Amino acid sequence: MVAYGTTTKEAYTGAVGSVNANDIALRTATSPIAALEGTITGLQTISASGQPGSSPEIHIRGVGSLNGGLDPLYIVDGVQFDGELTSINQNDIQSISVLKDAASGSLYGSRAANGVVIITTKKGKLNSPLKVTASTQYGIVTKGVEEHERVNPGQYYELMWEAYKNALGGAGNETEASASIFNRLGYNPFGVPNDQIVGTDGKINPNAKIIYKGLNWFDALERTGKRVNHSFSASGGGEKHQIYFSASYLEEEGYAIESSYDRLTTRLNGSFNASDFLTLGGSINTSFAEQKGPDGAGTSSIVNPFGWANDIGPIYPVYIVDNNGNFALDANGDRQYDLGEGYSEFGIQSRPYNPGRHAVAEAILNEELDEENDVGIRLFSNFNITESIKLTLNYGRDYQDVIDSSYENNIVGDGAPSARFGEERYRRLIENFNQIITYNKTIKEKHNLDITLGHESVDRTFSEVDGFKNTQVAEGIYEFDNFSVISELSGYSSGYSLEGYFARINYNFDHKYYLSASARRDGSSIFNEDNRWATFYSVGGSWSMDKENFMENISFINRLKLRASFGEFGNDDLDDFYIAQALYEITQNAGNPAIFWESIGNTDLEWEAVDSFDVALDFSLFNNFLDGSIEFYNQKSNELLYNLPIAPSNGLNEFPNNIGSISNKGLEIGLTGHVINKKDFKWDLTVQATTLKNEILELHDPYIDGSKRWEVGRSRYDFYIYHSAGVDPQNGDALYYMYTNDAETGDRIPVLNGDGTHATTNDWGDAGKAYTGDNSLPDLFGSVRNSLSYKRFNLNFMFNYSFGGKVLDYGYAGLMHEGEYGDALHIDQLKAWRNPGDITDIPRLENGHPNQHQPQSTRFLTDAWYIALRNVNISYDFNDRVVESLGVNNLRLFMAAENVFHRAERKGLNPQYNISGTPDGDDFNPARIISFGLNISF
Amino acid sequence: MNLNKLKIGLIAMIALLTSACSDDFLEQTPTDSISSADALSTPANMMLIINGLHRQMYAQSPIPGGSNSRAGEHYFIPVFDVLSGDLIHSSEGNGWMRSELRWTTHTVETTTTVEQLWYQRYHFIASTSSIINKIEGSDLTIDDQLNNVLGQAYAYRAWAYYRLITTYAKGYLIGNPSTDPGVPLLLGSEPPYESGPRETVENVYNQMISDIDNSIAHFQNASPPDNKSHISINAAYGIKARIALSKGDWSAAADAAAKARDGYPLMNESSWKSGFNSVALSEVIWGGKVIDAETVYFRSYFYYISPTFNGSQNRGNPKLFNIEHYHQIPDTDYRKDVVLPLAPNTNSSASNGQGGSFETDPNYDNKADFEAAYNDIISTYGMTSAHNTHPYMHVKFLSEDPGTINPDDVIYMRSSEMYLIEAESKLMMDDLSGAQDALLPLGSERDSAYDVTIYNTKESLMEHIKFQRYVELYGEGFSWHDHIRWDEGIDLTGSGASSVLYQGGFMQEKPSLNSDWVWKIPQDEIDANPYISESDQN
Repeated sequence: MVAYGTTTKEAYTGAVGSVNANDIALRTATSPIAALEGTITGLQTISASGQPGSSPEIHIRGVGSLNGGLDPLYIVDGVQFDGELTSINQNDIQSISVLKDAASGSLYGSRAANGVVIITTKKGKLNSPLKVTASTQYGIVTKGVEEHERVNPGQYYELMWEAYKNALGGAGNETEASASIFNRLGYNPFGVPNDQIVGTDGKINPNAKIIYKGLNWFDALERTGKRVNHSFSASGGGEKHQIYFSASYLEEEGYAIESSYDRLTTRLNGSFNASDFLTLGGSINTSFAEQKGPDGAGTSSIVNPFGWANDIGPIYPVYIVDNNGNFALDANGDRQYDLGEGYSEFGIQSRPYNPGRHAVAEAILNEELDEENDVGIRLFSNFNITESIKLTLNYGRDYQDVIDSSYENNIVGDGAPSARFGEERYRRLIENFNQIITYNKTIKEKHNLDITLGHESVDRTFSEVDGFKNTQVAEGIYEFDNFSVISELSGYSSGYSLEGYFARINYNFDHKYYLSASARRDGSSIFNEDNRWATFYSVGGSWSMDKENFMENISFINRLKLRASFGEFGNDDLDDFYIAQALYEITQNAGNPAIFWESIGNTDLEWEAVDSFDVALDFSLFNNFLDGSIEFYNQKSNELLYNLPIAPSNGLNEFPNNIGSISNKGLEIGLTGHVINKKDFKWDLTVQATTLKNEILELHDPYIDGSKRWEVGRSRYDFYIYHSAGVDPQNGDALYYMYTNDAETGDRIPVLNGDGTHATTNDWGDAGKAYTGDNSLPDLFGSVRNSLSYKRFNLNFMFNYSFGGKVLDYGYAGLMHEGEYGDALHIDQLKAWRNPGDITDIPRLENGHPNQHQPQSTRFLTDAWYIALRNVNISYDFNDRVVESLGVNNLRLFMAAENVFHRAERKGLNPQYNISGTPDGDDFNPARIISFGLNISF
Repeated sequence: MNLNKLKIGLIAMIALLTSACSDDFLEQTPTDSISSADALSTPANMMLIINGLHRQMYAQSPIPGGSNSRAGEHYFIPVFDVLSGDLIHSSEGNGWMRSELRWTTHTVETTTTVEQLWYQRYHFIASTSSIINKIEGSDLTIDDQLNNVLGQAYAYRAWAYYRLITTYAKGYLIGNPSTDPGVPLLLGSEPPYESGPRETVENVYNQMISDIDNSIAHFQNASPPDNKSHISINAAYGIKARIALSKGDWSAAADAAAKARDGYPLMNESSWKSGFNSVALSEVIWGGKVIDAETVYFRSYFYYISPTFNGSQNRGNPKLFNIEHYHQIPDTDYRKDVVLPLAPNTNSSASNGQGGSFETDPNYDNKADFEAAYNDIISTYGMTSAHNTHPYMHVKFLSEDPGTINPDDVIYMRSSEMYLIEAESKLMMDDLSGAQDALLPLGSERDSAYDVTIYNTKESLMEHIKFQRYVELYGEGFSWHDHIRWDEGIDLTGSGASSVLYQGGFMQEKPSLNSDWVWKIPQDEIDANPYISESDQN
């Protein structure tokens, strides 16, 4: 599939990767784009969350934007798709194509800057008998990434004693620290007196045994989930019609409590030849989904149970325990959540870690429910006006109707003491209409010409109502009627529209020399009237060298094609439809109407323009033993839509602008070896590799974006943080290398001591930040795929790898704090400085000493490599005798596993968490899913 | 090609060529906003902008990059009493303002508190400047309504600069205002949005004085304020009194303070003890009325301060009155009743190490008395059984609906402060009797045996005024700037505060010798303002 049409691999001049139904069938992913990982070069995947029903993110050929949206354009059956990808049943997909360069994408003009993903669903076939397939699978769901290694209760008390003693003034305060460390931590799980938990030597009392039950919060948070998926489809066709119908039901329980997803999909595709010059048809698809899951995953919110379980000290029980460490049961004999506000009857003080809160109880007692209905239709008609002229009309309309409701309980958390309830309902409607005329002609047998002309409109509207009430009447009713006080009622609509005209000419001479050129003129509602329209284009060519006479004698070459393209496409996405407009937002003051200054706007704002260049060699060699391609790309994004940070003293802190330029370039290599190709035994080995270099070419002024700083000549992801200089052996202070601005260039340069060594300080504020020379982008990433078949057995498995680049491991840094009472610690803290002369790179623990801990420092910069066994699929096809005796055509048993195995620099680290390399370690980690299934066709 | 096909083809071609969308297809406007041009187009709309500022005084900041946790004065009023150690935390609590009380917030340029106070106040400056510049550049007739708009706009701009200059620069009275760096002085927000350099403290004060005088001039012929969230002429005088007091312009301060309180009679005992939760109280000159639909939930003033609001901060960390100050209050002063010196120390995590039961609390020797005292307090004030109590906890700020999270009003200015400003100013002009006279109405309202004549020296009366400010204005957000004006450091020995909890905030050198009394300029300002670099940092 290509833009507004189809082509053959041979004829194509652009960079396109694709996967087909068979590739997709190997995977048990809820989102179809999960199947793209490792199968298409140049495509980087950010792992999906473990929340059932979530989708991964993909980035095609790097990130060419500063503030703009990073998602590619999705086209489903010819029409822009903005709904949930998870609403598409993967079994319905015939193919997914990824358009990576200008030649392939620029016909989508403004929307192609982040690449285009074209999803084509299955159709029936003319003149083919009815084929019915059914498939069922059952899987178990567990956690795919291990936890960080944290200290045990005894170690924790010792380390916190140290942190407390040092906060009291260090040596000489051991007695006080031993006497009252309990008062700092509030819980004593050891069965020894409170003032004897840690001795004045800093060692845990040898008689201390852990008597508390239920100290592992992950046990309370996690379970083994399950995933069940049933589907069936029927397809066929007669002389003048073709039909495809399918239905599927998916039910998944995540490995974290309270998380689930279920989905019912149907799809009907039909095409009807009304006469010899008119074909019409279309499709209807529906998806009804319901998702539940704990709130706050991956955020700093207290309700985030993943952050909570990771961060809470190891001495705090999930349930109230009595003086003997046993669960203190309520009148019904049930365990009671320990809310951390002190249980003096059991000698328990309030918990320094989020007293009054309990993220696991809150996850259980709250109710988070997202319901989503996706309904889409596609209508088309093809008119064969003459032999060579064809008119196609495509119309699509997708509705996404969502109800997100959230109940916060009255017992613990932000909903307490009265409980509260919020519900948000929204509808997103996208209409896409295009009209396309194509002309095909072969002149004198060797000149092949096809021309496409078209016009397109896209109209997207979104409307939402959002209500919030508090003070519950009765238990267990999660509707507004059950809450008595209105806290909020709001609602709005927003709209986006786009219109475009386009043309494309493809020409080839004797199927040897191919040329294509396209142009598109787009208008977008984002921009002010004067800057609304812009023109984009592309030119591409290819040369099938193997068809030249001079190649005839080179016997090891079966196919050799050189192709190149360049062009320009645009982007209007800055995550705000009204970014160009200066606005005052509507609000109220004690119920009286009011407005406030919300945005500066910029009527001069114009399209981002992306220049793309691509050159590639496609080949098959050695009697088709080896095929593949090598491709170089260079993509330069100019006039970047950029929310220029301005000094907050201006009264607002950003101002949209077209500033700056970024390039992404690299090599993409894909090789497939048909290693063994015998009747009963086949083995294909595919290796893919991509390199990526990102560079900022122009920028208004350097800008600090969290742990990164944007500056010309560096990547968008260059770390700019504090430089750790180790630990002062005399006092255990964390040391930082000092930097200052070069008076002439303004660059950060080291501050030198008199002897020429790099000066250090124990105050990171004085040290200042500087570049580290690292960025978060990998040097090389890709996959190794194996596809084996032996008789009726098939085995497919795929490794993903990534090398180079760094992550700033905030998850780890969070466990390496300076001794915050109640917060968990990493086992590396056992190596912390304790006495003068200690040589270590872990500073002295000291509660309340912020200079001892700076998460944004090179101390926490970690190699970002990973290797993952992403997917394994084993299947067996029963032989004809069995199949026939069962009265079916085909019977296949299979086992499929996702996220089987994962290695990175540190246990607990998922380097695929985000592209900027800042994993917080508090998210719903990806799941491992192992499924068994059966496919039958009739 | 047959005729039919030709026809269809022609129709199709025409369809394609005429399928271009209508002109307004690409025009999109939001439904939750209006254009800037409309916002500034009429006096009525300008009043909507003023009303939006009133809302932002107590809203979870709605502007881009605003913080929902630094909900305007909900946060900044208590923070200025926490920083100075006047509003004392009794335990580690759940962390809110812990870093502030340890002095590790305002001394760090990247903290949310430091960034948000700056940003939110400059937003007021930009918004009011837009109105002022628009009207001054137009030929609009200045009628009562427009006078009201301008009076409030100038007053807000003066107030916003007052907040900034007294916080992010060295105190006027302890520094060299003509050379000390102040804050950028902007009177408009225009492309290319480069802001400006730090203007001297003196020049920023000059602008503030010009603005507040302009405000008062417009208020002379203005329509009356809609409600107490609006700035009235009295509130404008009050702002002027605060500015003049901080600058040491004593006669202006005394004069403005007297005018500000006119018409806002002092509260009597029952009003004073009603919990400071309503702008309807007679003394309130200026304050935000917070209705249910505009609640900020746990980001409220009362979450940070009230013993009866129902959050974990309130339940586990009742706020204390300074013990030494408490014992200076005469028994005949009813304000003494809002401190509970014998409240049982029920919280086993109390930072003084005496919490948990009668066994740890030295005020009690048996369980029955301990529990009876506790039950008495929670039933009297309407707390829940999950609330803790602590010796010397205050019960000045009481939720209107105790034991809930229902919103309470935020008081920005009341008459008592004006009496205190007048007294201090007159005393600083060496008018001892004038100062005594100014103080007398307040003192005698609060203390049935009040005798102001015993403070018969400048020193003793000044000490007394300081004491009165502490007792009367406790928790209302004045003490930080009082410390700076009086050049007083912090020493919490004997106050009831725990040094283990307070760490660096327990003891601080006085402002004239200690640059940490000046907040850091936010890093995001330094990063984006071409006129301010790291070397300009406080």
